[in-house]
Amino acid sequence: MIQLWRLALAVLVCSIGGMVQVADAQNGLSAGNFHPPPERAIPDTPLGRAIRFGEDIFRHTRAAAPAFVGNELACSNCHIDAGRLADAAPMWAAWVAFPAYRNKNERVNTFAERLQGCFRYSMNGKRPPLGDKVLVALESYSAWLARGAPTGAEMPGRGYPRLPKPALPPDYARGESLYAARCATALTGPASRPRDRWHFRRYGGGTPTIGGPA
Amino acid sequence: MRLRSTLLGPALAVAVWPTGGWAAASPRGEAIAQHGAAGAPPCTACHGSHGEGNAALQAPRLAGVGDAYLAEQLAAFAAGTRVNSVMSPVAKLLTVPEQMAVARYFSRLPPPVAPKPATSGGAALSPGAELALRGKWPEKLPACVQCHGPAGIGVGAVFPPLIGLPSAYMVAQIEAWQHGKRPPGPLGLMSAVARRLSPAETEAVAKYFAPTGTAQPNGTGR
Repeated sequence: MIQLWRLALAVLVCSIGGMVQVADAQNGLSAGNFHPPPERAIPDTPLGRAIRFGEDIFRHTRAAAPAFVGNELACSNCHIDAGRLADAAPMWAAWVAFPAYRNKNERVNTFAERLQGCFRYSMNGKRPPLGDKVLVALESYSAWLARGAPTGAEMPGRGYPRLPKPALPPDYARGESLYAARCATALTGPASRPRDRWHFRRYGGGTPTIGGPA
Repeated sequence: MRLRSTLLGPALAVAVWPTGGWAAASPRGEAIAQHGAAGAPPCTACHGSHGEGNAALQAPRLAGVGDAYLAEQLAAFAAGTRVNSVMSPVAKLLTVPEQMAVARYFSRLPPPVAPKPATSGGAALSPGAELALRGKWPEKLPACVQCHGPAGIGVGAVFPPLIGLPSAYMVAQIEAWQHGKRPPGPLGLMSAVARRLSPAETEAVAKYFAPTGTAQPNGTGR
C-alpha cells in the first residue's frame, strides 16, 4: 500500500513537472541526437506485429497485458510519447544499456528482467515469465526504437535529467506557496470531484523535468 | 454516476451543497440562465435550453462545464481580457455574484450525451486524433486528453470539456490564444499549447472534437 502511494505521488509530481514544462517556453533540455523511427515505419511482418503489440502494451498497458497489471497506470505515463521522448526514460536509450549490473538487486540484469521489475513494482502487478509474449513484444518494440543506436554507448537523453541541488534548504512555507501557485491546478481541483480524482495520475502530462522513476 | 446526475443533477447538487452561497445562488443562476437579468438576454437563447450549445451560433455547451472555468470566462468578458461581440456586453450586465450563480447553475446541469469517441484500434490515426490522443512530443505538445480528460470529457473545475465543441468555435479560441486575445489560462498552459499549433493542426484537432453528424458552418467567425 505504501509502495502504491509512493508511486502515485511520484507520478502526480511528474505530471505537474510536465505541465510546468509546457507552460515554460523552450527551456533548453538536452534532447540528444538520436531519433527513433515513427510508428508508421513499423513493418508489416511477423516481427512488425510483435513491435506493434509492444507499442500497444506501452500505451494501453492494462488492456493489453491485464494478467500482469495491478493498477491504472500505463508505461507511457512515465515513458512519455510511448518511450520515444528524450529525457523521459526513452526505451531506445534503455535498450542499448542492458545487460547491466544493478545495485538494487546486486546482480547483472537482462533487459527482460528489468521489464519484469516494472510490472512487479511500477505496475503493482506480476512479473511476466521470461519468454512470455508480453515481454517479447516489449523487447521487440524497444529494440526497434533503438535501431541504429550504438550498443553500450551512453545515450544523451537516457533516463531523466538530473536536477541541480536546490540553492535553498527545504521549507514548508515556501513549499506551500509553490504548491498553491504551480501544483494545485492539477491536484486540488480535480481531487474535489470523484470522477477526476486520479486523472493526473493516469493521464499526467509527463516528466521531462523531474528525476527518478518509481 | 452518469445516471444519477442525469436524473437528479441540479436538485441533488442543491441538496448536498454544504451551506451559504450555493443554495441561495442556484435559483438566481437558473433565473438568469432561463429568463435573463437586468437587460441581459437569457443564456439559453444561444447556448440551448439545457446548456447543450449551438454549433450554428458557435455557442459552446455550458452544461456540466466546471464552475470555476465558466465564472472565469464571464469575468474575462466583463473585464475585456476576452472579447466576443455577443458575450462581452452580456457579461458586463451581470454582477460578480450573478456571474458566479449562473456558472454554478450550468456546471450542475447534466452534460449532453457525448458523441462516441473514436477508437484507436492500432490503425493509423487521423491527424486530429493523433494530436488529441497522443500529442506531438518532439514539439513539446502534450495530448489534449492529458489535461482535458479521456475523450475530452473535461477534468475538475478548470479543465473544460472539449468533446462536442463546435469546430469553428475551437479554432477561434486557439487563434485568440495565439494572438494574445484570450487570457492564457491556468499556468499559461493554453497559450503555450496554442502557439505550437499550426493552422492545419488547429483545424484537424477542432474537427476531431466537433460534434459528429452535425453540419459545421464552414469557416464562420474566423
